[in-house]
Amino acid sequence: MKHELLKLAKECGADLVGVAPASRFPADHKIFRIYPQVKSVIGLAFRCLRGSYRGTEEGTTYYQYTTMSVENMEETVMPIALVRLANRIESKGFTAVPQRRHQTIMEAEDGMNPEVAYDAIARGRVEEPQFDFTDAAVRCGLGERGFHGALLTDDFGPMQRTCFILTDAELEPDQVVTPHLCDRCGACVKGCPGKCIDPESGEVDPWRCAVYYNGANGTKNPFMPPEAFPDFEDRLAIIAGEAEIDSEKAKRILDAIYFYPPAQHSYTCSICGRACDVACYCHLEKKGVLKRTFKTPFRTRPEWKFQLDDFAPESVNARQE
Amino acid sequence: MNRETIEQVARELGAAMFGVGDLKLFEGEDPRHDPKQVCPKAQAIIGFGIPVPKGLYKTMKDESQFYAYTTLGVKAIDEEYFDIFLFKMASIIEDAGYDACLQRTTPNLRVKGDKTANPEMIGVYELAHAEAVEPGKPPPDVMIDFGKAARACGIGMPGRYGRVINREYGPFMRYAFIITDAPLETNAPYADDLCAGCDACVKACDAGCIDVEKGLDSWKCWEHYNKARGYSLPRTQWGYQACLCGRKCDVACWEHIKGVKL
Repeated sequence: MKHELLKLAKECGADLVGVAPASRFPADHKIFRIYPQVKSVIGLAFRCLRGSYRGTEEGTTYYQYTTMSVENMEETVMPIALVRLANRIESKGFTAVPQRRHQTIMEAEDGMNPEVAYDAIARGRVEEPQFDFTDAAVRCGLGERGFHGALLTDDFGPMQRTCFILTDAELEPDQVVTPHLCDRCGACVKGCPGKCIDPESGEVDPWRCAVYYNGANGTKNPFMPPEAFPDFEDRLAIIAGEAEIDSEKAKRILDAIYFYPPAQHSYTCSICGRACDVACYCHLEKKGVLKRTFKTPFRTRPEWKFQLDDFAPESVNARQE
Repeated sequence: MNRETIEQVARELGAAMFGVGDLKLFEGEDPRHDPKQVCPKAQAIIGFGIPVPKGLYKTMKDESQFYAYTTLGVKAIDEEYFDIFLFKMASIIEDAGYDACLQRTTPNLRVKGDKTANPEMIGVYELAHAEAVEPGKPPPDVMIDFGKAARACGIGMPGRYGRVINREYGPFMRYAFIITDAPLETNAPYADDLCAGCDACVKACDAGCIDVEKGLDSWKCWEHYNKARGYSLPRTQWGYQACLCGRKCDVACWEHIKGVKL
């Protein structure tokens, strides 16, 4: 059956498939809360097209990454693949529980998902378990966890999204990958326009990430007017990506962000263009460790940047005059 | 991977029109609509057309049903069908080592300075503040002109009233594109002038939204598009407003090109 599932998964657009026996997960793992009879976990990875990051890299199009590599993947491509694969498994007499990322439901009381509007999230929903997708992908043998928490694979580096199927079918497992891609180079830390990744632990502050994912760093946001954030005393620190930010302040900043219209399904537009992942990809590509190669490297020019001075009161006044 | 393999997959996935345009044809284009600004090293643009079943127009013409045109002929094709289609097509190109920048419709966005409406959408956002990130670049977002792109790919031409039209499907077709650096054999640009000597769309619109010289008045059209019948139908998800004028412009154009009644 595994061979048949692999074939169907490819047909449905999955680029990488890996299987973990449920015994590879600790006994208190959420997969057992969701489906106690689970015997195998099937991990599916779908690439985010490299071309969808091109727009932010060039600074000329912002619509395509969020719509094609976030919204389209999470809401259309992966759900259809999950249902088709689950139905195939069930047609063989087993049970299949498809698992996608529910972007607007969180167990944590103060959690945040940078990809969606903060007020669209239902928090504290411990009744609705969701597991760590990077962790599950690693257990399924799809790849390794990079320093900033992203799944890294030999094929796509950090540019993919994942979903899973829990089933009571016993499928031949794949080996867990020995980590070999992330060399703790720090490119992700340096690439983030909001200093959202802790340089020691690699932990990402999700509220801070939300603020800068949505474009609070003016030097990397072509849609930010020079007089942005007038009600914040530390507006220049926010615009520089250096302000102190907690969840309450993050909400206030996000309320003041209306630089670019939202996409559907509560998704907000990524203005940073996942700079952490792009920096990581460029590093891995340069190092020559990715299996899928392109005729030309992704980054062919120095990164563009606006001047912080453009947002200083003197320049704003000068422009208005 | 070559032009033939891309075309074969596109046809299998339901594209009825397929063509490849040479980006040299865009030289001198307003940079805000120039495909090269999306992907500077690109050489070609691939165009795909998915037909809108003419039955969806037929029921509007016969006034027997209107809503299916909006939900299936507009929203389902642009928002769901093309998303999956483009993802698969682009994956093939990237597998061969070339970049593929997808261009689907951006129905609710307008570049800075574009004050037009989109009759299909309840509202649009103009990117009112947008700065070029470097000298020599246009302010984002760059949005390609689908009419010019279709012409370059040899699969259609911009009609008098703004719709992309071709001899095979008239205006009953929706489009998406991929900008790529893959070296592909290109088509000759669309050479027919299907609008020559015809003003069927102008005469067909009950609200007089189309002018022979100036083309479509998008705000007038927006006003008429979902109010033409004196009752309303709900907007669909993602803000598509119901077409209640029956797109008489499209029907008249199709009948003119095909030489038969719908």
